[in-house]
Amino acid sequence: MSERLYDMGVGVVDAFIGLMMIGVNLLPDALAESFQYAFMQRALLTALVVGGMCGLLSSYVILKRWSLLGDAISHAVLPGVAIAYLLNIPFFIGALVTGALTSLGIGVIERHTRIKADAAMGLMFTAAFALGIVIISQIATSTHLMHILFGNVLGVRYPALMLTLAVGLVSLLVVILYYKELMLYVFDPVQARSLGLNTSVIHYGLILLLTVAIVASLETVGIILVVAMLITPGATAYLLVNSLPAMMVLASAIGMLSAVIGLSLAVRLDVASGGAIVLVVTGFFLLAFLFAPQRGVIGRWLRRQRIPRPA
Amino acid sequence: MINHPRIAGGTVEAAVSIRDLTVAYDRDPVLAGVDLDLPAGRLITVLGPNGAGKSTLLRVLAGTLKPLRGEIRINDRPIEEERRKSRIAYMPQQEQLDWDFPLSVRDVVLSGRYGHIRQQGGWQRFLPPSLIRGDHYAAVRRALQDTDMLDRQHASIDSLSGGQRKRVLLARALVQEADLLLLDEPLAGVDGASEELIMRVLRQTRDQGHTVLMVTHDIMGARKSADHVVLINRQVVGQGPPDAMLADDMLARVATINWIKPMAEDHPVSRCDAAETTGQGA
Repeated sequence: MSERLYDMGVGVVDAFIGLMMIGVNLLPDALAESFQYAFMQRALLTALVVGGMCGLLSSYVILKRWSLLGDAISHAVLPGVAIAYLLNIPFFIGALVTGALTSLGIGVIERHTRIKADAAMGLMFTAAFALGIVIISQIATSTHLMHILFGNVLGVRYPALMLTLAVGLVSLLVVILYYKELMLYVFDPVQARSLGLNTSVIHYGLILLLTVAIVASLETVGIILVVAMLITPGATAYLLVNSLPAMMVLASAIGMLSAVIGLSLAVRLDVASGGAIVLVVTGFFLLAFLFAPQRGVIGRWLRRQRIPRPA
Repeated sequence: MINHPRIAGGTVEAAVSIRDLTVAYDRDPVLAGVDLDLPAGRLITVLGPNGAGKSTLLRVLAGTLKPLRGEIRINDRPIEEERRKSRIAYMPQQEQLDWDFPLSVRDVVLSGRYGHIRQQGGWQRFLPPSLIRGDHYAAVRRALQDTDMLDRQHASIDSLSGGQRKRVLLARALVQEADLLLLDEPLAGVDGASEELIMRVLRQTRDQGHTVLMVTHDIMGARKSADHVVLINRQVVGQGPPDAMLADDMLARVATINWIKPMAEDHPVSRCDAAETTGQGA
């Protein structure tokens, strides 16, 4: 990356941090005071982007029943990171390649054998993960491995943050511009095909989006927990609203809110940030599970009580 | 009297022209060397026992299944081209879809116009559905009216009854204003009122010059409504007017092919299918 481009990137990131801090200063003091330091602000921006992006995509993951695929891709990213470290190339590229290769491999096994999708995924991603563990055990310290597996959001530097921000903005743009195509493909791929859409491009495009989102989330929540961010916000929103755009916006908001609360809890209680963020988002799901007006357990129980008994 | 809008030089142009179509899922071909010409502007019913390859034929025409070999032309043009131009509409069986999806009736029907919107090109193809206006808006309204779903247009699709789901899928197919309308068992599992409405809409669509091709194993329905019947069982057994095709001897023939062949090849699954269909015919 040339120096001028890098400086520009830093400028953009700082502009976003400035915008974000306007919002943070509106928060209650107890929550806002953790974000005085520059490293905390970078961590917060990373967490916000990752939470929003994963939340957005989680609606597709839920509706397309791709939870296991998300899990598979996130594990398959590990050998890519290791190989990139070995070859001294950006880890982003390595992760993207092995993530994409694994999802292709899953497709090949599914199409050419009688093995079903779930087994094909389990088989491929454990193999990729094993390869990653073997390589890393040779080349890196266990601290490094722990950071990849569980994230290290407080150590995020400018290059990683630029990448995360770029990826987040690109996914947002793709999801908005191709909303119709993506919705049709997820709801009814047969109809999409019969309208002349190239469903292979949409299929692999969506998988690529997921892979990119997962790679960008490495430092925030780590590859083990990122799948939670790709499932739980969408699942929560699915219990609360009845239209796809609303579901996507709400899931995004839940992802971002969990990132903020989780991060400040992590700093305050001195616990792992990835775990804290995922626990918070799970807390949101529990609230929706219990109290969602239409589909919550309590609401449904109350409605059943109101059905009059036949005399 | 039936309309024939595509009469050229005294002969009806073929809406669908199939040559040597062979489709196989695993080993045995489901369709083996099918040659078939279907007339334009008619209400055509494809009839055959379970496993005869009816839905397979429809899925090949809709483009979701790749044939092993064979050529298909629609209105004398390659089928891929017609599909890209949204001139083929497909109505699936409702079991193929997830009705818990967070969409309204209108959202689903409007998605039938996505092909048109893409072809228009320009920045407008990137607009979200809520901002789509013009012809598309009017077409959606018409389709909702025709299928009597206008007052339910904002309802969430998970709240619909079986007959209403069929009508939504029909509206989504109608809104394409396609030359060729493909329907997979459009009357399966609907009540009498919905059945009547669906058939009325299909006849009206045919009268406007579109070709309607539906697959069914409902012999009574075919007798009442079709202009043209194709009997199929891995191959074309016969095609022609309903009275001739739905005579007892023809129906016996279409069922028997499956009945005798599997006996010889010791294929008990297909034998059950044939028996079931013979039962329905009686």
